[in-house]
Amino acid sequence: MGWQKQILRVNLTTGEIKKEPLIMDWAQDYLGGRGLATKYLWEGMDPSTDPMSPDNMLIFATGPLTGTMAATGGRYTVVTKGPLTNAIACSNSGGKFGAELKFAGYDMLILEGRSVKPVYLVIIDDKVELKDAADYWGTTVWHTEETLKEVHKDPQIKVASIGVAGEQGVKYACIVNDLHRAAGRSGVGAVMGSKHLKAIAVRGTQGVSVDKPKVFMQAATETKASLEDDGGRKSLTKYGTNAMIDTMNEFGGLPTDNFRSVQFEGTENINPAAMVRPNANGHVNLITNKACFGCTIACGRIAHIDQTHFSVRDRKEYWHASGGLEYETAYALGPVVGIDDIDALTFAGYLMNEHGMDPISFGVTLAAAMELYDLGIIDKQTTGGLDLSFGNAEALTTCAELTGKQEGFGVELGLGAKLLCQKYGRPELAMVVKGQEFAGYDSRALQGMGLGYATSNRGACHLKHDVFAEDMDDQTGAGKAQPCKTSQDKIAMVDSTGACLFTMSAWDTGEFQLLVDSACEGGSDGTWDNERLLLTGERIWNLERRFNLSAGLTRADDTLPPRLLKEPAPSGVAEGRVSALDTMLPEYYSLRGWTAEGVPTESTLNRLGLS
Amino acid sequence: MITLHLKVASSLRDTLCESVRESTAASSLDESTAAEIMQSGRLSLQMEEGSTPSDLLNKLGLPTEQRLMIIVDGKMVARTEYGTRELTDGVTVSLNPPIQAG
Ligand code: SF4
Repeated sequence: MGWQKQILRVNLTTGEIKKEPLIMDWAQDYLGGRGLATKYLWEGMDPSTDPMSPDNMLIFATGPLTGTMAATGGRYTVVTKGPLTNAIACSNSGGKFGAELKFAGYDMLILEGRSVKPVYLVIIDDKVELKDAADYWGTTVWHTEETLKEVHKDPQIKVASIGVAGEQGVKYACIVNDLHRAAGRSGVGAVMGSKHLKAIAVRGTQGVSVDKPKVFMQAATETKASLEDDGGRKSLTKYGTNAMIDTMNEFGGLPTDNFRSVQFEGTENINPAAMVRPNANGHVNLITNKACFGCTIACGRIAHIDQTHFSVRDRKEYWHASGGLEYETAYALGPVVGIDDIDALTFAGYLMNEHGMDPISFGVTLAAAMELYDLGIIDKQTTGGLDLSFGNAEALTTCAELTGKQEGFGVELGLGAKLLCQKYGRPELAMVVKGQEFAGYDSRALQGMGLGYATSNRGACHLKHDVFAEDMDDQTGAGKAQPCKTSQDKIAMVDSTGACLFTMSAWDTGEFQLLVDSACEGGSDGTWDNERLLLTGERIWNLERRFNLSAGLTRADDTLPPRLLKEPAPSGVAEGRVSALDTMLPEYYSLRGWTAEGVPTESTLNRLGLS
Repeated sequence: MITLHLKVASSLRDTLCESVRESTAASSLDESTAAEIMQSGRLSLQMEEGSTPSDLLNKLGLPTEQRLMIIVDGKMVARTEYGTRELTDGVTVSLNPPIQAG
């Protein structure tokens, strides 16, 4: 158990809704969440499919720990082929939506085809219906979620929806649930929009059973206790992820002005201290922290904007509290575009949630546009009169809104950095891997991070590997390939359990063994021990890789932009260094059991049961 | 004596203020200095010549086993050097939590 052993398949072209038994042999090999959804994707569609075509599958997958008493057991993952990268996309979200889907009785929701007209899906336990979404199409995530709760007369209904950005195919549109939690990366919201699916509203009243209840309760209690005592956990609770902004700035790994610099003068205005410091009007940005379902960490921030700030002065509708700055939002709406106005960053963050856009990709795309503007390649005529100088806070908030509504220059920003820079003949200015924009860690200072970015199956991503300790201790490429590979496998496993990877501050594979083995039956392999969990993670990583190779990606896609390979870091602890990707990558391929071209060998596939 | 200029990450400031108040450095730290640390993360501190990062952490009451990132004048100090690396007069010592996923 752990699994509900049932999936829901909805064909949006025909309107057919089917409940199917979960294929337990696959669950035993891939657990759930990211891994199991990847298996269903691999078996269910041709990887060369156009991501925006009806033939692309869009899968919402919970893990066996989702909806259980395990700490942070509220996660779900959206897996599809991503329009930003033309590679596999797996985008993880928290909030309460994932647990609710599980409570409704489903491990997974598979969406296929394309509806003729806009629809939304209502799942209330066994009762599943497609409904007309004409009244919601063209409206925001926030309007959709709040109205659906009213229309269905159930404030407890959980909603995942897209904004106009997703409807109009913004390459980095996301799916937002619980107003400010998002399956944020790789453009999964654009795929949902291409299917003319505005929202999914779910309400479940069933419990989740586990295989060995007493052992599981003890495991849940013990693992919660270890989180409780952990210093990393305490920091996440008290300061949120934005604690990282000071560290990265001092280290010289904080991408600034489209990665021209690696340190930002304005961090003191947007760091956790600034979030609690009263401004000249006595306004304090941060209100409180917030947890996802079942989470004892509560890293989320709830903030509000100074009502006198230019961005909301005449807009009362934004005076309420909502999601506040986390590290990636702060970086992508701050240093990378040279802005240190905390209210502007918070407002732009609101707009990302309201319109359903990934703040990382939006911010790095805007940074590329700012560099194009700085170089005179685009001008006010191109931008519709906007001054896109680095540091212009009004440009940030205006562009965020234009992109969310797909108006004016926002249409170009919706292309993402890669296509935008290609359009203006300067592809090298796009700070992306496989078309996806970088998170807030510069790979000249964090070499292992650079290897992780280059080899990430979903394009540049900081959440699919963990080489932080090694990168902190040493700024060369030596010794980074092994921890990069091992942590990629481990995180693929964690993402497939339904728990949050921020538990890894305190937990290692042993804690997941305790939880997964007591929650899930072991099948013919017996127990879920450490070795099996890590092998499962490795299998998932390799299946994602196979999907990408079949989609046409090659070794040439495992690279970094020229700026990181050729332009030395201008300051910080890695001053003068460039990325050592050329030495790390062959070592990494060899450790993975891949050929020099990055293709899994037959013996690797055999070992992982992927032949 | 040497003077060290400390630069403290926001997420270490509470801990530092509390521990400095209770440590041997308390004599040079009053409430307004603590408020200054909270505000700007800056503090100048006198230490014996030949002091090391470990001596500094002891003086500040920060546990040496805590995984911190120490940067002196923009250069990383390896953990293995905490007990041996001499801090010189006038350097800026930056104290930060370790890097983790954000
Ligand atoms: S640690 Fe943060 S992101 Fe993870 S489940 Fe908890 S609140 Fe959500």
